[in-house]
Amino acid sequence: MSALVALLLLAMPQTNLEAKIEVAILQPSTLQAAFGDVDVEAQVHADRKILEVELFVDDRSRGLLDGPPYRWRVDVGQENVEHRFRVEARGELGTTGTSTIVTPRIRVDEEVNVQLQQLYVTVTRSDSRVLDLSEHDFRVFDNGRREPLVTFARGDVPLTAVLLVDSSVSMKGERLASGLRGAEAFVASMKPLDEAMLLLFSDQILHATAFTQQTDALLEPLAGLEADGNTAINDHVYLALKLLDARQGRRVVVLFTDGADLHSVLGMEEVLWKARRSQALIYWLRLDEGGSRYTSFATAWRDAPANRAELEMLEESVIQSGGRIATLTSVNAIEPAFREILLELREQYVLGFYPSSVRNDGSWHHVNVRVERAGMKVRARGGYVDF
Amino acid sequence: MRRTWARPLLVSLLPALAALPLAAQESRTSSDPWAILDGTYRPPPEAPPPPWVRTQELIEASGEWKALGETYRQSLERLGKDDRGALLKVVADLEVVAIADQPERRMPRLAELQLDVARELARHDPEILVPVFQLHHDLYLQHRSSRQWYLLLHSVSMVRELAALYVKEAAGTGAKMNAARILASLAGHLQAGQQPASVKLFEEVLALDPSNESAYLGIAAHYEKRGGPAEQVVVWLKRLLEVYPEHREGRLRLAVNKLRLGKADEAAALFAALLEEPGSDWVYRLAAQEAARLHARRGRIEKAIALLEKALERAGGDQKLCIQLAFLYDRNRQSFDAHRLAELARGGEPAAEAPRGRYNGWPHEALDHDREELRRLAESRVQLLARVLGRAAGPEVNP
Repeated sequence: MSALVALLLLAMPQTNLEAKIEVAILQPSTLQAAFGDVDVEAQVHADRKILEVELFVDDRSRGLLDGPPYRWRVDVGQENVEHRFRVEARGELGTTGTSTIVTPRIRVDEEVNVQLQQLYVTVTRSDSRVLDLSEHDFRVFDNGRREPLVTFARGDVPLTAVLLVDSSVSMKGERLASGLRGAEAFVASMKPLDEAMLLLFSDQILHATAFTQQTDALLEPLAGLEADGNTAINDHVYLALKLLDARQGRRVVVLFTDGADLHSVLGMEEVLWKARRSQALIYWLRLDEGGSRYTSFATAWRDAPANRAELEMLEESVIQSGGRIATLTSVNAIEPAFREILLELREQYVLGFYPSSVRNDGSWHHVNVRVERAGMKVRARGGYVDF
Repeated sequence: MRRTWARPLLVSLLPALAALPLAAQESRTSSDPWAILDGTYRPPPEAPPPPWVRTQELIEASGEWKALGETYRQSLERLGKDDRGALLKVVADLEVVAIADQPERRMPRLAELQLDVARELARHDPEILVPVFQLHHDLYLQHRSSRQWYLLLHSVSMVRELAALYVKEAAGTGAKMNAARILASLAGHLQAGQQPASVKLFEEVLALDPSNESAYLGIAAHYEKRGGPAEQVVVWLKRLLEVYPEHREGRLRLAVNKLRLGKADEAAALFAALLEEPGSDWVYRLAAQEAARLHARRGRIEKAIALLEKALERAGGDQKLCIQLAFLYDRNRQSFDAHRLAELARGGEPAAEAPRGRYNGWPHEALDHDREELRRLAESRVQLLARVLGRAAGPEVNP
């Protein structure tokens, strides 16, 4: 009997070895370079049940499927590099099968990545917006070098906005209620192609919607939501910028808060890094009923000078984005301030140019927009990162 | 309660007293009321009282202070019988009226009067003092909410005196630990606005009970919240860890402060040890955040990413870990992954208490535990107090 068991045990691994899983990658092709979103498809044949099939791109797991069809869409980025796609199928009794392909990089003598730079420009004279300018009135300078405009538009370019409403404990009561009314007014005035997301935050996200055009979808679930917790501005400004990355057209962050950052895991320097790489405009509605802007405070995370520096860097991020800071001294000013931002966005000029001196070296390009008329104030993004 | 001695004019001075700016009491002079904590408090020099204020001698001669003592004694008898809120209000009102016209001069006399009652009771059984110092501890909160600054000081002073009397009369380690707990609880409350006094009190706690966790954490958190010095924070955390070597919050705070002192390798080792322990509590999540930040600062983005990916597996959809990982993916040009994590953060449930907020707040768990223990002990001693007061009852006083 024991001899029979031993014989069976010896036979089992042999069965495993005999079981075969064949994997073939149907796409992408090994003849073409891969950029951005890439569709990957694999075919798997086996004489045993397939438990799971996993895709690896450049040795990092990018997706796991437990049944056919074995298709994935992965973003491999915009860099001109080789990519290694490996599909690994795992069956019963530990059987496996893999297939690997490598997509090539494009061979070029000199590689230049030229990206259209878009500038959303607000022009005012004596605090009133100027709406009758033509493309000939504008001069755009990139690191001091004048660049010709290749696109010019005015008025209602569709927008996507993230409305960041501080819902920390200091916003309890009328402050939060007014903030939500402001957000409602903003959304209610949007045009059919505009979209917005409402994100209520304290030191964490208390509520966040998807991007939508529907006022009801944004505000209905908020009944009974209580302001609570401390404030983490940096994390949520970064998150808003990141969520906007995937959107097309004009992108806007509206930050409404009465305080300063206390508990973010990201520093403002990191948010500034992101803001410089984003084409989003940042507007900061700062509720300051008690004149507390320069209040000195320390936390367990940062001392008073560091907290002051964070505030100043947030100001810098807003200004560099081409947005603005509006200081509100009473809750009555909140709702009109939200409306005013939307009105301003409706009345912006949109200028586009191709930079003539790109090096893709991560350097900062200062952009200066001028209007050749007397008494004009021009506000636009202060520059971009060359990458 | 009999209040015939308290003239309406005295009561009318209360709003002015309540409006005294707290900042004025923070200056460290010999007449600074908070100097009661280091025994250097001296009342202001005697000045002739205004004509409408009776001298202490006149009040004593009228027998009003004696009646006050009886009222106080009867209030103690009602401990455990009446609604606690109502009882606190009765005693608080009694104290307000007692010191209203000359707070700095009347305060020591009021303390003397109440301590005389306590000393007499302690002769029967010192354990009776537990509900009494608990009462004065709660009176501190009552006076703080009604902005009675002098009486707030009086309550601090009473709790300290009663705790000292309890230690002296009851003797033994248990008594010292209980006295330390009530002082730690009070020090915890003082952290909201009177941090130096709070530190002083926490030091007294440790003199009584060198194993009091709240005191070590309270002092360390005090220095940390005001921006350092980190060396001082490290000293107190090391003392805590000498008593409790496995203390997770203590080790986390030590790592954060080592980092501030430029000792990155020591900090990294402390974080790594915390991350290897089971669970995904706020200490774990914060250790993961800080360890990843340290890797990123040293240019080890891939290591930071791997660490956060692992932490996210353990801590579910923790919002902060998602945001931090999204940022690192972004830096690493993994825009698809960054977007996926940003969406995950957006859809994540808020935690009951955000770890970074918990770190910045006062370490309250140990204090909460001590307060609960003490409250239970006080309740268990109330019957004893009632029996003793019943045996030696004074004249009936209308409440």
